[in-house]
Amino acid sequence: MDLVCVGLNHKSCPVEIREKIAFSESALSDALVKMGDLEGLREWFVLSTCNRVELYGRGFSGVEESLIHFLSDFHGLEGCTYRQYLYQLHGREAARHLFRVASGLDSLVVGENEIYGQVRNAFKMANELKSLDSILYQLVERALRVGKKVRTETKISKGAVSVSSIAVELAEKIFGKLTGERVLILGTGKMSELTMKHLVKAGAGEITVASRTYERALELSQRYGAKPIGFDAWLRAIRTSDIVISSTAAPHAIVKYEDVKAVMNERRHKPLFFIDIAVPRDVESRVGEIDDVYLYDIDDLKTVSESNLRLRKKEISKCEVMIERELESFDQWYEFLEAGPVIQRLTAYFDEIVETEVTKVAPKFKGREKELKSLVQKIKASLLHTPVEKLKESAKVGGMERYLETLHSLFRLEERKPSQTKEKESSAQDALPH
Amino acid sequence: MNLVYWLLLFAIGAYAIAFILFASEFLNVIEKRVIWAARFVELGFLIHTLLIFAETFSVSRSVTNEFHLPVTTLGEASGFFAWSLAFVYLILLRQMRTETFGVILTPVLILFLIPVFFPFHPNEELFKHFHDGYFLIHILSAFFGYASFALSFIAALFYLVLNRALKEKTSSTFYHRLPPLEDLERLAFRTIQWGVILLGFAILSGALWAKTAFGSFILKEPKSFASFLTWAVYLVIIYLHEVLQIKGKRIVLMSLGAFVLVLFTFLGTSLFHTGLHAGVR
Repeated sequence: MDLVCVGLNHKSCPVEIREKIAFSESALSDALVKMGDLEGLREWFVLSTCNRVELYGRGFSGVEESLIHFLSDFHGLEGCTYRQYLYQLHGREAARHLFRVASGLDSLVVGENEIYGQVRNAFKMANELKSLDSILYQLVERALRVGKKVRTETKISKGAVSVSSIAVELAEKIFGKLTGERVLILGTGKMSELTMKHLVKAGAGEITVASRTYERALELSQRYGAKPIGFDAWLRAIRTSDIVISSTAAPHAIVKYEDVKAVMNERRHKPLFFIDIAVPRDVESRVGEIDDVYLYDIDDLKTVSESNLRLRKKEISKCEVMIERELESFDQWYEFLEAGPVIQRLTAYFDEIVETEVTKVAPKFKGREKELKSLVQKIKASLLHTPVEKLKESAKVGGMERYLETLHSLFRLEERKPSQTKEKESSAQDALPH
Repeated sequence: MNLVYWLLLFAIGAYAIAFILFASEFLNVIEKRVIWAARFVELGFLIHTLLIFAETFSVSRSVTNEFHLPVTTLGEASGFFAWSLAFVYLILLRQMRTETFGVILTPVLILFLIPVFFPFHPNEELFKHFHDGYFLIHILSAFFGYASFALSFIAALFYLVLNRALKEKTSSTFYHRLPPLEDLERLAFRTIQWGVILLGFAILSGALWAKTAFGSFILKEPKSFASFLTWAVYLVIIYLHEVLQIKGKRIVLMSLGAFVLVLFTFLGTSLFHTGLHAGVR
């Protein structure tokens, strides 16, 4: 297999180097066009995310060096600055790597979904710019297929692992599908903003923002259509809220047990979910003891994340089996690809003989030409069936080359040109396993 | 063996297969079997319904040569209760056909079907009242009412399990399989609402039947009193939850406590006394 992958990722390379090598979306299309000028490169595909930059190619031997030089030239870098971080994969290993990447097994957070979309977008762009031919096209398509399969048939992407998505998952475990639950933000930290964004996306409703600096509350509110309130009014706002995200810079707890207890009585024990992301914590830990109050601090959220990650990692072996199966199927397809021209020549050879013999006997079958043609086509198909099936089988178990050589020498196929007619081409293509 | 026994065996078999499928899904042994498990519950219910019909129209068991509902022995009443439970679950709780409910409910159905095998002594007092329309409404609505309270009890138990898991921040298999907390609360109280309506019908039709049979709307005996108390307690719970908007663990605990009254009314008073209701002859 003349496939090659040259790249670096979050495991092999520090972010300072990765950010220099990464391609922006506009740079990527430019790069794909320029790669067309590389000598010996027949088809190519580039995957560039914040965690990895990988160049896949198929071409003559030594094409990996051209790809490395292209990286330096395109980004105007000295090769020595990043060469030590590069990995080079060939043939089956390159294919397996792309399958693992698309499945999220090579990601920083195992099983994450974003990479699937990134591979799909890169595929779309490469396709539009016509950088893919038959083999890389098939490879990336299969990578996307296996990426989808592992996510639907295993639990590799189940269970939230980021703080904000865990908060959403917990909120949904308490309130069910979010439909307008009210959110109160205490403090305007980056993390609480992100969590709020996730909650709103999941269906949470009215948002109220309280900050010691009213201007910051106002600014955040304007961005998300929320309601700003003064910091002294947060306790009153809790009465009508369902979810409270707290991330103030206060040096001690501001949400006290007695206050929440009183609020809960006023709320008639309607559930209240506290997400305390602040360090030091904003909510007294005793608040979690009150009935119908669910309090999760940053450590609790991290524990949930670790537990979910452990569950995901248990699924890796299942995913690897699926990837191996897809890889075997790709191998067979690739192997059988070599048989394509031979089958075309063999079909052409049979057609030629049939044509000659039918022409000879045609006068004897006047008025029944259709019947005759159908009969000889059936005979031809029957004769070809066994050798083609045998070739398919040998593509699975190996030793196909021996059969191809035998066919070549028995029928002198090298002296014949592959059939040019569309019908014949498609019949040979149909014989290829998918 | 007669038709009733064959139907009983098949119904138990279908519920047992459903239980195995629900349990294997629940324990992650085999996945995506919930739909099949639900199909087997439906099949079991269908056979169970045929069983009820066979029992109802079985001339051989009819002392007075009249057809009647299969509630004259403790075994029959138990089987009829299982049927009411399956009916409420399948017809009214379509959205709750999860492995968690299935894994608890199917063994309960089997458990209540087993007494049907045994020849309990029939309550002959009942036979002469089956021609009365009020009496039939009374029995049917009482059974469906109690089945609703039983489902509410299961939902309330699940609520407490999930509440504890969320409080203690543990994520067991059970935690992942349970529906959200508020959905469980909604389900528990919706089934209580049905239960209150159905038991209300049962009490009303019971009073009308008592008037025609005994000349008085009120029977002074424990079961009638216990039913009325159960109904009143559940009505208060519904008032607290729906009108006063009291939510959360405490009201759920109250609904669990009220179920003790259901057990006392439905089982307790029948086990210790014979007759139509305890003391009525």
